[in-house]
Amino acid sequence: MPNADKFEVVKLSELPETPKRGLAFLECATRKDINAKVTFDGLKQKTREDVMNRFDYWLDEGICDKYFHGFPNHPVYHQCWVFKWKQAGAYHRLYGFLANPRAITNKGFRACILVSHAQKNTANTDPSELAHAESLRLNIAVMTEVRKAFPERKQP
Amino acid sequence: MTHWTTQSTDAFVRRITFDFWTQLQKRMDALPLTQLDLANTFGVSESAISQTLNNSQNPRLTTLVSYAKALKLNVAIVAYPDDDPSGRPVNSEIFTICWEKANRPRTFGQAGALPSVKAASSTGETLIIPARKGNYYRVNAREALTHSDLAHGNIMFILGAGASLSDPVQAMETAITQAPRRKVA
Repeated sequence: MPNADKFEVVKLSELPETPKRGLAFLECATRKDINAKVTFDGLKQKTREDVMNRFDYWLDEGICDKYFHGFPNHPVYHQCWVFKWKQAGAYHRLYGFLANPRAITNKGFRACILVSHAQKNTANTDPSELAHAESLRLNIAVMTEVRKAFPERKQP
Repeated sequence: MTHWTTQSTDAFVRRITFDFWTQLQKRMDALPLTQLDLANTFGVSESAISQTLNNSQNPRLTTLVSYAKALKLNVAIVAYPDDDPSGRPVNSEIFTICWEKANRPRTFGQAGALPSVKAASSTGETLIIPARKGNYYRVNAREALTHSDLAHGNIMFILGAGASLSDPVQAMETAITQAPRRKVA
């Protein structure tokens, strides 16, 4: 069955990529479950900047599990990723996955593609969110858009 | 593309405050010290500590310093020239890492005596750069010059056994004399 959903990978102009990392949102007009960008755009200025700080920290190759982390030891979801913040007692999560779109010209480059937002009352990860992100990571149409957003570098 | 912190001074302040609080949070984890411990130190509630640590909206300098001191950290306000076209600020933790790797120079003399990888690389010499725990890096400067993202650590080095850290300059000189005669790959 042909894939009817039209995906788009959107980078934030105010969040330039670094030599080793880049971040973008997955968008799809026909899929309400892909809501990370909509949620991010709707954040109040202060919260938005708090989240941007977390993005920056990851782009700078920082490590802080309180702000974000992957699932490297999980047998299935080891390419999934989550950014975290707390607001008014609620736990907020942006789920996504890591990709390596420049396998030829920049093997070490990692793109984080954010997919969905979840708000909950506990700090625990919901496996269904990871399953959702993983299914999109394995979607050929999605990965084609990821490679378009983060094309291989031109050789000198 | 310009970085989001170039949009306003407030945005920039929020970013550097976030970086500072993150350094302190990591210090709390490392000690370890809880928010309750800090609350007892300052004689305030735990929620007040939480609010402060999550407040990136232009906190008072005295607040930043008192929290750092409570965690047995010192504070420097660093201004630096930056020609990055995007305007992305350098995380304060990176300055701390560099200072540690330079064996914590405390005077202009000690800082001035440190080798400059960029300057030395043009001569093609091998550099000995002190590292933590008495180790040092032996850097093939010619190789370093060929890497475009030197700042990201893509330099070739050998980690060796090292010298006393009491005097960074002396440590560096000792490290040079003790450098193994291995060829850098």
